[in-house]
Amino acid sequence: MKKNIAVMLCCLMLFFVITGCASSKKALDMDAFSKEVLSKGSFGDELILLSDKVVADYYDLSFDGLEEYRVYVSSSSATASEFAVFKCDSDAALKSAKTAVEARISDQITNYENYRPDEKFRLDNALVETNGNYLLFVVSDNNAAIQNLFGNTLK
Amino acid sequence: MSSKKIRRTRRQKSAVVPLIIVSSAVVFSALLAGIWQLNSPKIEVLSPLVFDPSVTGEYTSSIASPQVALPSEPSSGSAASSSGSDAGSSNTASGASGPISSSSASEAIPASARPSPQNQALPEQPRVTSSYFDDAVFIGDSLTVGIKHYDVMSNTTVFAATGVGLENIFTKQAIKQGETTLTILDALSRHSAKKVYIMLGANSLMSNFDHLIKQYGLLIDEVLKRTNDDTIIYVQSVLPINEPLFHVKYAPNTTTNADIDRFNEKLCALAAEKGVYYLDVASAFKDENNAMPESNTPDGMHIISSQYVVWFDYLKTHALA
Repeated sequence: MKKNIAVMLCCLMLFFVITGCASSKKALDMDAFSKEVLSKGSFGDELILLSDKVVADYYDLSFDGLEEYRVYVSSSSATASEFAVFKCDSDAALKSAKTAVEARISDQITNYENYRPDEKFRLDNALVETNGNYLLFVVSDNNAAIQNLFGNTLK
Repeated sequence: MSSKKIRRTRRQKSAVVPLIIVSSAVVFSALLAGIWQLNSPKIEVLSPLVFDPSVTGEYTSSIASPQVALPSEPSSGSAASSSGSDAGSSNTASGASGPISSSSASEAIPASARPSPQNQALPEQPRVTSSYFDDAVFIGDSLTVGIKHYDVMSNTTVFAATGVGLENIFTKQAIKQGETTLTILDALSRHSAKKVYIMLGANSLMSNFDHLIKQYGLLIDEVLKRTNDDTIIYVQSVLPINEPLFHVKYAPNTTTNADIDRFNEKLCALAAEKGVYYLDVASAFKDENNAMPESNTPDGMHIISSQYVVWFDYLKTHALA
């Protein structure tokens, strides 16, 4: 009897381990997620999807393991509003993506600090969050709503 | 049934139960893990911005008229290096009346044949194609950054950054090139531009105009120093604003379109003095009230995507080969 209980407990542990791993690897539909973020976030400006060439100007993405990304910025550059999501294939790539995002925030703070101090404040409070293989970066007036959306979509 | 047999059957049963549990757990976990996703489609390739062709359609030579040659300039020296004393030459107006025809950078007219800069905006010229901007560099602030964002002229080079103004363009490191970040002027030095377009001043209009014009003059001097003699330098006017929007979004009761016009007049005179070309881009954005229409600007100062097409349409018809 004791042996049976032990086996059952082992099975339960195995079950939770497997399902736990599975949920963190849930795939994110980048375009659908972006659309939802753009509709929910308060960006105070029209955002525009950047081409790869322009993204490469703004972010140092010269590292291995970046599978997919979307970067949206203020179309008129009037504000620092921005939303980016990156999918990486490893923790190392995720770390590199995070470094690239931090450098981008720093560049933008330099751009806006003497021009629009209110935008610098928003940059200081930018949301940078990882979940599974994904990295999210947001500068908006309602980062919390996008943070929840990110968490719920990957749950 | 003997007690020995019963015990064996129980032992067999107790060995089967964990197996069933383990198999069920594996199947259930696999379902939750999303095994079906192994056959999910490949990652999409990012597509660049696509503009409505009806708006961004390439302007090619649809009118088969011969190109009207620009009159030759009797005084020697390039446009960039000619001085303000050339301003009296009377050879720019004739170029304005030419019909639209295709003219690209490859059909270059010698620098000596270009009209000398006048104390007035460069008049309309034969239309050039997009390839004219292949070897051009655009210098400016957030308005110029939009050229890059909208990908409206992807073949050109943009050295611009948000927050750049006449007060910090000499020192602000804003252009990333590899591992280093350069000032706009240092980035220009490393680039062999054949044409340079400057648009600055919108962020600085609350300062003293004479001081701003002096700063602009220093900037033009630096651009001339850092480019070749045959590089064509264009100074673009400051764009009009939508006053009600601008005053709500930025500073109430400050800059007006009358101020901008006054600044642009001084800029035009400066361009002539420095021997560079002044482009009255602002005229393409003004409505009947001499202002930027509200529908063309999100904040009274910056412009929406369709207006970048208007901007480049103006540049294509005000370009010297």
